[in-house]
Amino acid sequence: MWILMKMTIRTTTVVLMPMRNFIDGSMNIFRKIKLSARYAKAVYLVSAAYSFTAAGLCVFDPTLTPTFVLLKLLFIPVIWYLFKSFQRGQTIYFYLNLGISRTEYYSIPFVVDFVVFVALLTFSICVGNVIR
Amino acid sequence: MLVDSVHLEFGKLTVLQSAFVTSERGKVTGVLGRNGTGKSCLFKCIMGGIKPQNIFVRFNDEQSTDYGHIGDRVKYLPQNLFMPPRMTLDEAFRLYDVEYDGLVSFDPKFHTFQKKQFRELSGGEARVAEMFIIIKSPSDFCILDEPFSNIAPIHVEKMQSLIREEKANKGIIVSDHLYEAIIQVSDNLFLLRDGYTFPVRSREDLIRHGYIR
Repeated sequence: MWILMKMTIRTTTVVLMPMRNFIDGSMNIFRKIKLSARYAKAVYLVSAAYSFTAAGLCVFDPTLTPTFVLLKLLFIPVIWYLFKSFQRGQTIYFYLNLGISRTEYYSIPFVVDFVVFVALLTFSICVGNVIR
Repeated sequence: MLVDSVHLEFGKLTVLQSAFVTSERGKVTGVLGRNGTGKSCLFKCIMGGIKPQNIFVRFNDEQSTDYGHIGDRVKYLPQNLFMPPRMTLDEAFRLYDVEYDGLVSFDPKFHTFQKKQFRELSGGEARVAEMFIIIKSPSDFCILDEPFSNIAPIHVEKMQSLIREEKANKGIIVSDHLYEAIIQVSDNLFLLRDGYTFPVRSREDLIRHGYIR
């Protein structure tokens, strides 16, 4: 179990490190993620609900995993569109002023969400295997 | 800071063509222009809020500019309120690395507002707080889009003093329809018309370009 958890953490780190190099700037990547939790709270809440439901179901039936991943990939553009549409007019400049680029502003919530989703699914499949 | 060759089109509408603006530490650059001439668009292009067809930004003759993270060097005050409504003043000042006591010295009315959210302030109060944060935040340049709109005349005078005081530390670009207020604080003046930028040296230039009569 401990080895599986370590593997999950390692996988997440491997995915996050290139992102850290990609998102270069004076502001720390973790601070940017923390800020994204402020402006994309709704995105995170909706995605968390989906991710936890999918992870919960994958514990009992791992064959559902590809379906959940596919659905997640299909939902990302929809959520992204809604996120852009419901955004308050000038609020983006509050974050641009803090050193976040426009690309990061729109991509960080979705990248973080997807990484967490993959990590959760991996973890739940592992837990399911241990239970069985 | 040199911003040059800004070209912006929305479909068939050309807003900016070869527009430019410069700013240097110790000077205030005023940008004037009638409604719809693209002043705000120019500023938004600089900050990356709008993606123009072409833009060239350079700082201090540096070979490459990290344009993606321009917010590290340039702070922008948009035309409308931009602070997240549920954010407290205290939090905003902390994120922008500005001392809250400075705002209290600027206007003692803000003494008890530290824990208030921006949505709990009046439009004018929020505007004063936003403007103070942008002017005082540590950065090389700041862009103020219509800073004197929607605030009391007493605050306009105080803000002018603050801009004069702060220009020692940074380059400031300012735009407003209260052109007298802009002229008073500006060292350099530009006028935007038909998508182009024209340097303004005298009041006659403003008349010639049809900005005033």
